[in-house]
Amino acid sequence: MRPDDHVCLCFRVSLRKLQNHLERERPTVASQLSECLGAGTGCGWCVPFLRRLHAQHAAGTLPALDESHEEYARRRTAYRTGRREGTYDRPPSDPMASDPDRSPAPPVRVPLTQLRRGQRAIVDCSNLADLPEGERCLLHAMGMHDDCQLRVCSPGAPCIVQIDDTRLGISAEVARRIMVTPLEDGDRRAP
Amino acid sequence: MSAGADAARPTPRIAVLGNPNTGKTTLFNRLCGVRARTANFPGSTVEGRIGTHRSPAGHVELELVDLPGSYSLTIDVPEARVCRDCLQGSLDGVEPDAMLVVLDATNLRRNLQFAAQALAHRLPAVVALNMWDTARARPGCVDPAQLSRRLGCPVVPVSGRTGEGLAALDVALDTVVDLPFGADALVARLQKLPPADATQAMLASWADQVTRSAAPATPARDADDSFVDRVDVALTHPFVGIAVFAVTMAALFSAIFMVASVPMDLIDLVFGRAAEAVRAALPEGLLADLFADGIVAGIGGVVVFLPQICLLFFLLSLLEDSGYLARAAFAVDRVMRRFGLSGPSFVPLLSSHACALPGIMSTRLIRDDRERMATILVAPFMSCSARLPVYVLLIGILSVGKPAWFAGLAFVGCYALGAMAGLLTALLARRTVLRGPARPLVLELPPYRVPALRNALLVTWDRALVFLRNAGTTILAISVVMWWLSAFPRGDGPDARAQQAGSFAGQLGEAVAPAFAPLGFDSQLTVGVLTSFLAREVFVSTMGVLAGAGSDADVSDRTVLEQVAAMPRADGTPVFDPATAAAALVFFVLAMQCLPTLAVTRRETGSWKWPAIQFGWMTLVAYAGALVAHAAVRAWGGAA
Repeated sequence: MRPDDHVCLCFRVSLRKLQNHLERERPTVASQLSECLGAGTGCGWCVPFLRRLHAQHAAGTLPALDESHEEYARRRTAYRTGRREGTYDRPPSDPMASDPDRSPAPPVRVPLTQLRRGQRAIVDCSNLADLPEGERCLLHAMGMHDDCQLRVCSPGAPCIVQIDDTRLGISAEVARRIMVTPLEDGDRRAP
Repeated sequence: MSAGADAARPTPRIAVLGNPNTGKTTLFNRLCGVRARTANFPGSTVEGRIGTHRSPAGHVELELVDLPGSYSLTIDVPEARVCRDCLQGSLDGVEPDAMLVVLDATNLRRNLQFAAQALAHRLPAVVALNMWDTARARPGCVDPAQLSRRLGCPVVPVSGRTGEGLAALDVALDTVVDLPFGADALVARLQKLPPADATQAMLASWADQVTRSAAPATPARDADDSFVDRVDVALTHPFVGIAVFAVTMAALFSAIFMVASVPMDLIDLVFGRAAEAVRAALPEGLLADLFADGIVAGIGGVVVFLPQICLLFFLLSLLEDSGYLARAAFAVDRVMRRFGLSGPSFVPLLSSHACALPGIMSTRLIRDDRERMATILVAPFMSCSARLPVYVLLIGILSVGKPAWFAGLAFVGCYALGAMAGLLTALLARRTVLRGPARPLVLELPPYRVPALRNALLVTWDRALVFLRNAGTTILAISVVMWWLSAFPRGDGPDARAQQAGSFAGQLGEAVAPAFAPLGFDSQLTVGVLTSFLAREVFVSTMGVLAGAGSDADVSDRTVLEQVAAMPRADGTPVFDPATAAAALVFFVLAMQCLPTLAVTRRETGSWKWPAIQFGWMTLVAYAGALVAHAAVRAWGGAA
């Protein structure tokens, strides 16, 4: 992939922008790459690639992707079609890697906007630091705090979630910042 | 206790507090009924209500303070500050004697987090477990006795909607204000609560423990309800949601227009008759004029707004109670955001198309202060029903000899022009005088419920009183002043036209006329504009008087329109050439020609600064718009 090719096709974030962002901001976790023009917060296809870029940068090498851009875009289309038709549950850990010896990936954190209707997840509020203090506290007090469990009632951005018996409507700019770890369907936290 | 001691002791005060959407106000209304008044707390736009409650069971009269619903007592938002101040007695210098913490029994986990913060204050407390009628029907319902042990205070299951459990609540409140509450009682209670510096996550886990111990068989915590999910998805959909909202609002306003017009006509009639009666009863002269034209007409001018205000608040209260309004606000949020406003601003702006007064009064739904100010500022740009007679007159003059569709298009154009000017002003204000971050919208969507009629009626009653007491007095005073301006100095003949021209208002019009000359207005039209400053619809009757049609001019009367259209200037050319009529029309769409609105803006914003800005800006925009319209029509007419 060339530097001007888009890695995140939803928000048109090029490889070069991501390289510069990694160099400049030195994010500690891969999900902070979403602060680079919202990379990875759309369809979620590029999340594993962002993760790979972040790992490369952390290891001291120049972040790069070997895949051709045409193949990359074609696979993304297939991914998005599959997601629409329900054959994909969540972003594949690395859709282009075919290494059978890979150990299972740790739980994936994705933006809230990527969950399906009815899906449950555990909340991580660490990305909310740039919201105004009052708003952040209000969100906490409404029930949206670290490690709480939510259920998506209306997916996307803006979205509606349910925490316990409270339904919250969340505008797009807040929803994109809330990171969640999706739960398997049988994996609900005991009541 | 002796009767003397009873009389010496002030009425015990009880602070009523809880999360939003817990039915707190419904319960308060149940307890106090009409014996309540709205109170603006000093230094805050947040309002609460103070009411008295005399329990049938007990001997004590209680003063209840309904505090604004808040999600937390520790955060830095106006609602929480008012609650904190009230509990500490620094709100109005009266420390409450006890608190009534209202919890939603169907959503205990979150409500208990608030209860923990409230109970940490050194006040005797009663916890009301509201919505008990719904909660009881669910499996694994909480046990109030057990919850009472865990919280260290009485817990009374009640339902503000059905009235169930109110007798027990009376007894608990009567008892709690009589009991001494010492430091040891507080310490005992604090031991049961999470530490004072607990994070929200700690509060949540404490609340979870309490819920589990008090309700052994708690059902799944976030039960699937895919039907409600689907309804929510549809109602907040970018197209479907907005379409549903548009239909709902269209129905709401047509209902208001249709239903309110009957009592409004009746009020007009009654006050007209009253003015005649007053005039007949008093000896001919100044006093009769003052009472008939000044005071009775002034009171009529205030009361005539009441039907619209009452209906709007009644219907809005029903919609809010049903849970729909929150969804609608969420759906239109993304559109309003482009103009620096947010979803909750939409309803006030839409109601301003009926009348700006109820529109401005309903901006209290908006949480963000700056956004609320911006909404109040632009609300009078929306074409209200009082502009309609003026539109009818001027568009009637403009569309003489034009095809039939021209008038319809002109009407639509007027409404669109007003709305666009308002939204762009909002955008401008949010970038300049009201700059501030757009408050990211996180909105609780309360469960769908059948609205409580009684509660809606009490809300309406309360709003009507607020309007009459505060705006009404100002409007009345202004009416008398305007009457004086147009009645003095006294002319000698019965000729209304000469009186109009010779009065202070007429002289003022003469003096100001050069300023309006670039718009093509002559001095007669300027007088019309100036007198309509009291209220726009006055323009029609003033022009009627000036055209010699008599003061009872009505726009539905065809001859008035013809007479006004044919009115000559001093030099014999018609007053209303197309360019002037267009300029006057644009001026009336955009200008702040409504004193009652300024009075309400003053009351809602708490200072004269905002009405001054509103008036200055709207007049400027109207003048500029009229100038452009005059020049454009003239150039177009010249080319054609």
